[in-house]
Amino acid sequence: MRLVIRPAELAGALSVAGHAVPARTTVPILSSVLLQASAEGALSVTATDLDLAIRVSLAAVVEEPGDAVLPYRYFFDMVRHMTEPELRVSVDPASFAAVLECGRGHYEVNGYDPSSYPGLPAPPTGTGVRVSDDQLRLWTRQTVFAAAGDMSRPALTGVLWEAASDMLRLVATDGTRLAYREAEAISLGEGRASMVVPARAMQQVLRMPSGEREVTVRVGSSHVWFEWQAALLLCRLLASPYPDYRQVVPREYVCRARVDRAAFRGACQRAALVSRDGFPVVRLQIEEGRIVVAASSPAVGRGEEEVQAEVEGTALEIAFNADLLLEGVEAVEGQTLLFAASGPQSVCLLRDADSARYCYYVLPLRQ
Amino acid sequence: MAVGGGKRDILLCDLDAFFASVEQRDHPELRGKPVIVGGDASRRGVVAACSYEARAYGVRSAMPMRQALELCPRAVVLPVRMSRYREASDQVFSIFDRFTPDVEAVSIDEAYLAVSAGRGVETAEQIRDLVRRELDLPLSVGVSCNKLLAKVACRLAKPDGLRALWPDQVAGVLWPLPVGILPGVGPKAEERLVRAGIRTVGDVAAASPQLMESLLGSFGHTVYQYAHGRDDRPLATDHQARSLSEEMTFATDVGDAEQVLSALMEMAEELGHRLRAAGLKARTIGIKLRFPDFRTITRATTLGQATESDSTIYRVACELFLRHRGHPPWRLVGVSVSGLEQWQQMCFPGLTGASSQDGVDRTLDALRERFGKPVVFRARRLPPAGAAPEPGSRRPRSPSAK
Repeated sequence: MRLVIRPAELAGALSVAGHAVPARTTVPILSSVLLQASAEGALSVTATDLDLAIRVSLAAVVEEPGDAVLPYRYFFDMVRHMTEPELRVSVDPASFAAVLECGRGHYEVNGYDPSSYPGLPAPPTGTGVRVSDDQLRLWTRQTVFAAAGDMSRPALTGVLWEAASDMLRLVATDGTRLAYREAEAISLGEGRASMVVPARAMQQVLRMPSGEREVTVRVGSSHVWFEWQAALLLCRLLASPYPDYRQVVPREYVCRARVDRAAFRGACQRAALVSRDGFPVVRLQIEEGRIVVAASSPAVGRGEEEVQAEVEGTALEIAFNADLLLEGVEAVEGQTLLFAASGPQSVCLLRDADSARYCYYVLPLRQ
Repeated sequence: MAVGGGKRDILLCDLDAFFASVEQRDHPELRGKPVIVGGDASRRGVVAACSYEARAYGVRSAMPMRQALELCPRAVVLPVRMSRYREASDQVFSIFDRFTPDVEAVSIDEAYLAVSAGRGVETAEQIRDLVRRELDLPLSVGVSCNKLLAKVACRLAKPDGLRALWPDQVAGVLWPLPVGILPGVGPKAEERLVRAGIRTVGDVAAASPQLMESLLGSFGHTVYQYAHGRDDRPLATDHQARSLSEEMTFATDVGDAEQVLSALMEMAEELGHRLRAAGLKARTIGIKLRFPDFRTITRATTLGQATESDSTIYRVACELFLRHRGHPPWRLVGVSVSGLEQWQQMCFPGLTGASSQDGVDRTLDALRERFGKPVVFRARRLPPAGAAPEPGSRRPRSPSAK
């Protein structure tokens, strides 16, 4: 393999693919990246931890096609510190070692036999479904943060994709809040009504190179593929059944408030600063014409801020972990936020006042 | 906010024979009669509280009921009505709140209050008057500038009295008293001191701190400071309780680890109940062990997630005990919980599968509220086969600053 490439572009591709390089592994070759140079003038960079795989392609002047496997950390660090505009990479097919030449620098990096790098599972045949890249990123941004970080309920570490005839629903929850997104109907394949995509794979969607308008989604029996022209993200699906999320949706709300989202967010952010006691606690006092956001901490001090609101129903006071509340306020779109409470000790809904396509359900704190 | 000594007067308010006083108030025909509140004599119950009329016969708290009735056969024995006492206690504490926000609840019938320096005696008079007029309950108050002297003053004030004890009276008033008047110096410790020729508080004050430490371990240093009327423990008021603890000094030193585990379970249930009642969860669980030579160790573990569960507190306390138990026998065992979190994040029950133990805890709480203390408890608390019933003396201590 011999090629010439711009180091900055290669470093960009390596940093994206690097998210699939396992931090610790018992299989040493997984700490490496697979480089594949084709005669068509493209170089692809692939990394996998056997559950998640990322491949990024970029243009290169390929003088001799071929494959190479180089240790990710060394290779990436060298490339990203190169300041000259051109990097020449040549790999000796017998020794697997790479020679990197950039400006007056000359480095040799030992590599592995490319044939020993694990192959990626083959996608199912068929065309898959095409989804707008912008939409996929939006759905992802609105849900993935709500998934569980700890492994006590494995299914909750994923995002549920549930296909109905008229829409696709994406759901994520960690047991304290639940993000629900309605999206355009797509098929998840013959006989499949739902899948649970690991949140760490969904987070990668947001990190993939942007600029393409569409992405093709293919679902196999155990994996999902997100294919862009110049990039591929694939991941093993979670096998654990997703719990019935509909039970968290309250039947009715006793109090509804419409409030300017930016003003409410600012008040919550400032109030949360006062209360840093393990986690920030904000209390909302919802009454006619306003929401009073208050916080206090014996160590720091206290504060409160009033936000104008249109309030219907009973006045109530309710406390939240400000981080959970604010993540929801951020995820909701639109200028006017609807905040609806089903009681001071039960679930609340946050959504755009004009649309129920995205709903964020969050539980308050109990004293 | 922690309230330091010096600039403020400290009051110790202690309701006299609290459970018995509530019963005498609710049943006026029992006034002037010996009243004992506690478990059934035929089923080896113990005295939870007794009126001063019963005390005249030698009846004391934690005494087996059978023995109490031998001392005072004509005593009126009443069952424990804990919810009624909690209600009365809440009313008393709301009177305290009218005078100062700085209230440290020691137990259901005892609290330290901090007020502006120079206003202690006047405030004590007003509080006693209100508790008497509004609630018809006798309250003794000790006033001083620190918790120790307030506590001693309160002991001297009882029953139904008010007493101040200032630092300049330490030599004249405190030193002639027997050493057992100092908090934490129980019968065993007193016996040790008396054998070493230390009978009065003045003897402690005249002894060297080194001698005190050799007799009572690290606690000896504290006792020495107490003997000089010095005590810098701050008030731990409710809104910033730092820890809750329970401890049990065995009537006779215990060599059977099983019996210690039973005691740990009893204290874990008590702490779990107090946490749930206060709406708190604890991140850190600790144990305290005291050996017959008064050597005392404390060991603690911090959990990933705060808990209020009896069984979690017990499990952690057990692990700590089994790891650090040293050589038997044990003289005292205690459990503490700290790292208290007031706010709990609620969870969707159907999604996270709240533990079935939560239900057990809450059911036990409900039964305890309804019937007083030991109606239903985990089998772990049963004494091991063949062991004698062990009343012990349990001392709730909290909330205390750490």
